[in-house]
Amino acid sequence: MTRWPTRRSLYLMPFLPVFFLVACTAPGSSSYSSRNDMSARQQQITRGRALVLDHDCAGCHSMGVPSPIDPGFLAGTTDSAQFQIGPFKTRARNLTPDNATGLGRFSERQVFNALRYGLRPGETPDVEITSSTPGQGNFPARPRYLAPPMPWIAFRHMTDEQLWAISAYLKNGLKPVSHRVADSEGPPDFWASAWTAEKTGPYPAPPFPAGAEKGGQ
Amino acid sequence: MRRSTERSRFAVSCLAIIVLAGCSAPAPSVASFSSTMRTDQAKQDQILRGRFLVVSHACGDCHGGGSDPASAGWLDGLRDTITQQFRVGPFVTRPKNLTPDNTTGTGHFSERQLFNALRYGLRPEETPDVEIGSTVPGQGNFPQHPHYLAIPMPWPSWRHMPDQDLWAIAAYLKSLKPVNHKVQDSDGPPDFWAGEYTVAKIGPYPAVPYPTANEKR
Repeated sequence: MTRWPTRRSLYLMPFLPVFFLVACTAPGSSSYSSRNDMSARQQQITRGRALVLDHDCAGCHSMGVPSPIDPGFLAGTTDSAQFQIGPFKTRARNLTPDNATGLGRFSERQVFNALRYGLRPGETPDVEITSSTPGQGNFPARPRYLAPPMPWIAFRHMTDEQLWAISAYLKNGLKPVSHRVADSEGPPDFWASAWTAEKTGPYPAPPFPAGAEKGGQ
Repeated sequence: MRRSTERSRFAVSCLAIIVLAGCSAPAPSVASFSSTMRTDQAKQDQILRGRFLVVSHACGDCHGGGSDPASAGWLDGLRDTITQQFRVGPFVTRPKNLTPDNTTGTGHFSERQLFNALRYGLRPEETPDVEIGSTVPGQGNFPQHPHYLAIPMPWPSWRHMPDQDLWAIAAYLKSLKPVNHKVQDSDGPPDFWAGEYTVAKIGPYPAVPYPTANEKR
């Protein structure tokens, strides 16, 4: 029971410097709204961190202990931990914002589109996507998907706000780590035939209750 | 059939309350009626929250049904040994039936036992139905000889969800229709994976405060 107060106060600690800054700066020196924006951004990054931790991203994308204390946190997998999907070897890539080996060159929107639509940021334009039909609403005519077992089919069900928070954390809450992970192998269609609607199920999720669900009471 | 019976029973009891309210002093009956409604609504909201978390955390990727609650086999455990069965060293591990069937699923477990499985990784089969207040074996109701869930169940990540989210998942699982489907128990080492779930291997709980040396503000 003593855990909860401790945990709460630990989470408040990062905000302490913000409180001090707010208290110490002359009121006119920076606008109230920019300070507000800064703290909103910081809260978004903190929310993204919590989502990254409780969705097991580090389970595949980390070397060493799957915890932010480990220098290999989210820096991608090692050869010994690659996946074998049929004839293909797939590897969890470096999610830190390193320019050469990580997400440094991708925008938060490209990371969002990867999580919502399963589209590889490297080959998907940095645009807002409003359809999941190839060729429509900026959805690529020839989509290049992330390799299995990346569970974007499940992650796409998170709210917009949650996916933006994860992107914000990956791009702004992590230090870049230079660690090259070999690109995943895959079929010539970039997994398009593995990710058809029949195989992935509907998005958004069907209304409750469906199938084996009773509907509560 | 069952649902419509329950509905009509609910309607009858509502009628009885309305009639009672009309006949007796209005204040107490109306108050209890609205508090019952509030409780039902809160439970329903909790179940919906649990469903959202189950879908977006990919529980069905191993336990059956992918991310589609309308699909056949939703969360009722191992059916395809190619995609759902694991080999961890010399051991074969199998995702179990999460529907509340009494003989083959989670029917005999309480919501608290499911909560303890998600927060502490403790097998509901061998862990008493008690509130746990420590992660040190033998202290605060944490078992002296913990029996952990088999790898690769990612409870070291799920444990980072807030209490209310884990309770919501437990409530949703217990609200499903029971499916009678026996899954063979997972193999495992004599210590029930205790040697794999040390702090040195899975990191600390709660998570260390943000930012660590690998993170930035």
